[in-house]
Amino acid sequence: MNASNDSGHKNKKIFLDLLMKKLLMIFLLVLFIAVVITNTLVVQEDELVVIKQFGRIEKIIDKPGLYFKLPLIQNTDSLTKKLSNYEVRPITVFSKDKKNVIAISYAVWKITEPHSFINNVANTDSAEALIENSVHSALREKFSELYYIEIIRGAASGKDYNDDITAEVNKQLQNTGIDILDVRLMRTELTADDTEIVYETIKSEREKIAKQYITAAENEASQIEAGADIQAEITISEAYSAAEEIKGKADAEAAKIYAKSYNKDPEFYKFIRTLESYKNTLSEKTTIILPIDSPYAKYLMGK
Amino acid sequence: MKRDEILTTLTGAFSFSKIITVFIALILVYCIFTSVYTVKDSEIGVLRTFGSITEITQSGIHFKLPYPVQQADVININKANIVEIGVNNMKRKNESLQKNSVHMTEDGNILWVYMIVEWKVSDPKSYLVNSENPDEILKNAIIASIRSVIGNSTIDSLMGSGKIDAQIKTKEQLGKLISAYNIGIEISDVKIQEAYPPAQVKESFDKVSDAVAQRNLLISKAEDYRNKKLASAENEARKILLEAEAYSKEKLNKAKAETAKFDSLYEEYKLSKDVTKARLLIETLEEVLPGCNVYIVDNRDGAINYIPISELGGDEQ
Repeated sequence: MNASNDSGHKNKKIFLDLLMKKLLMIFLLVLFIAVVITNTLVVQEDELVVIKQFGRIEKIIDKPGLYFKLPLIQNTDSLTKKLSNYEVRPITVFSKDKKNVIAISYAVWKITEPHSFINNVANTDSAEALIENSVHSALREKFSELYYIEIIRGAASGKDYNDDITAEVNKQLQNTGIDILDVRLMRTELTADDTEIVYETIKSEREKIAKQYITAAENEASQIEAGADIQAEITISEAYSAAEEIKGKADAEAAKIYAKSYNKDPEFYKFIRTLESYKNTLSEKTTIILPIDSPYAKYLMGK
Repeated sequence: MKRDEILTTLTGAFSFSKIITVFIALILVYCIFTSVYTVKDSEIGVLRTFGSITEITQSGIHFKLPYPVQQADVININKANIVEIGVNNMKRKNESLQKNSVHMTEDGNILWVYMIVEWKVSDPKSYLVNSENPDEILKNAIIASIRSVIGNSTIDSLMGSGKIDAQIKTKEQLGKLISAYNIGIEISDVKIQEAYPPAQVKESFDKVSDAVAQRNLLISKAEDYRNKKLASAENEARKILLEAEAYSKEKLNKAKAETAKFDSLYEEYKLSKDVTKARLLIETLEEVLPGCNVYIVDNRDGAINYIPISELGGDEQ
C-alpha cells in the first residue's frame, strides 16, 4: 500500500511537472504569436506610417508593404496620403470699394513631404489650423485689391483669383510638407445690415421694373390701337379709290358703247331719245297744247 | 488511482502535437472565413496585397489570401448618384438646408437655387485611394461652381431663359474642378431645378410677375381691338368693291341693252327712214297721249279754238 502510494506520489509529481512545462510552452507560443501579430504592420498605398522610438521619430514608411516594429519600445502613427477636404471657417473681409464680404471657402490639400510634415506640423488638426490661418490672410489680402463685383464674378480682369489665393497659401505653407491643390471661394454672405440694404434695393428696383412694364404695355397697347385705326382707314379709303376706278372704267366703257352705237346716226338718236323722254315726262293729268299746224297735230287729226 | 488516471488523460490531452493540430485547425478556419468576399452588382472590389492595390474585381464571389497578405474593400459605384444642393421652393423655410444655395448675382441680387447633380464613379481606384472624402469634395466643388456661375449672371436671366445656359456652364466648371482633383468622379448631369428670390423680397418679385401678366393682358386686348377693327374694315372694303363691281356690271349691261335696242331700231330705220320714224312717233304718242289732256289750238282765223283731243276719240287708228 505504502510503496504503491509512494510511486503514486512520484508519478503525480512527474505528471504535474510535465503538465506545467507544457502549459508554459503553450503560453510562450501564444505570447510569441500575439507579439508578432501586434507588431506587424500592413502599410496601405494611401497611408504614411511613422514609427517612433521612445517618442522620437525613428522611421517614416511611405511605401505600401508588410513591416514589423519592435515591441514595447516602438509605436506608430498613421497619416493619410489622400486628398483632404477642409471647409475654412467664414471670415469677414473688405473689398477695395469698402464692402464687407463674409467669405466661405474650402481647401483641398495633401501631405507631400512626410518628413517636413511630421517635424513641423505633426497632425491633421494642426495642419487644418495652419491652412485656415493662411487662407484667411490670403483672402484678406487678395480681396482688399478687388472690387466687390470682381469678388462676386470670381475673376478680376479675366483671371481667376482663386488661383492667386491657392498660390499664396502654398507659399505661406512652405516647409510644412503640405501641398494645397486648390483653395476656392464657395459662398459669400453679406452682413445682416448689408443684407437689409440689399433687400430694400431689390424691392425698389423690382417695383420700378413692374411700373416700367405696365407703362410700356400701355404705350404699346395704345400704339397697336392707333395703328389699327389708321390701317382700317387706309383699307377703306383704298377700297373707295379702287371702287371709283372700277366705276370710272365702267362709265368710260359704257360711254364708248353708247358712242359707238349712237354715232351711226346722231339725228336718229336724238329722235329716239326725244320719244323716250316723252314717255318719261308725260303722264296723266298732263295738258298738252298743240298748234293745229304742228306735225303732231296733223298726225292726231289724221291728216 | 482514479486521480492518476485523470492526470494521465489530462497530460495526454495537452500533448504538444494535439495542441499544434488544434492551432493549425483554428488558423485554417480563420483563413477560410477571411478568404471569401462578395461583390454585388452595383459594387466593385479593390484587392490589396500587402497594402498595394493589385486588382479591381467585378461583381461575384471572390477568393483572396488571408490578412495580412491580402485585404479587399468593397465600394458602391452606383451608375447614378445624386447630390442635392438647396431645397425646392415649397420647403424654403428650412434655412439650414438652403445655406449652401444662397448666392449673389452679378446685378446685386440674392438668389436661392435648388439644384441636382448626377455623378458616377469613373475610376474606382482613384475614388477609393485619392481622397479622404470624395463626396464632400464634390459637394464643395458644386457649391463653388454654382457660386461662380450665379456671380456672372443676372437674376432675371437665371429665373428665366438663362437657366439652361447656367446649367451648361456649371457642369463645365464643375467638370474641370473634379477632373483636376482626380478623385475618380465624373459628372453626368447638372440640373438647376429652381432659382428664386429670397422670401424677404418675394412680394416685390410677385409684383413684377403681376405686371408681366397685366402687360400681356393689355397687349392682348389691344390686339383683339386691332383684329376686330381690321376685320370690319376689310369687310367694308369688300362691300365697297362689290358695290362698285355691281355698279359697273349694271352700267355696262344697261349700255349694251340700250345700244342693242337702238341698233335694232337703227337697222329698221335704215331700211325705210320715214316709215320707221313715223311709226315710232305714233307708237310713242299712242302710249303717252291717252293719259294726257291734249288740246289743239287752231288760230288760223285769228281766234283761238281749243279742240280737246279726247273728243276726237282716241281711236283714230
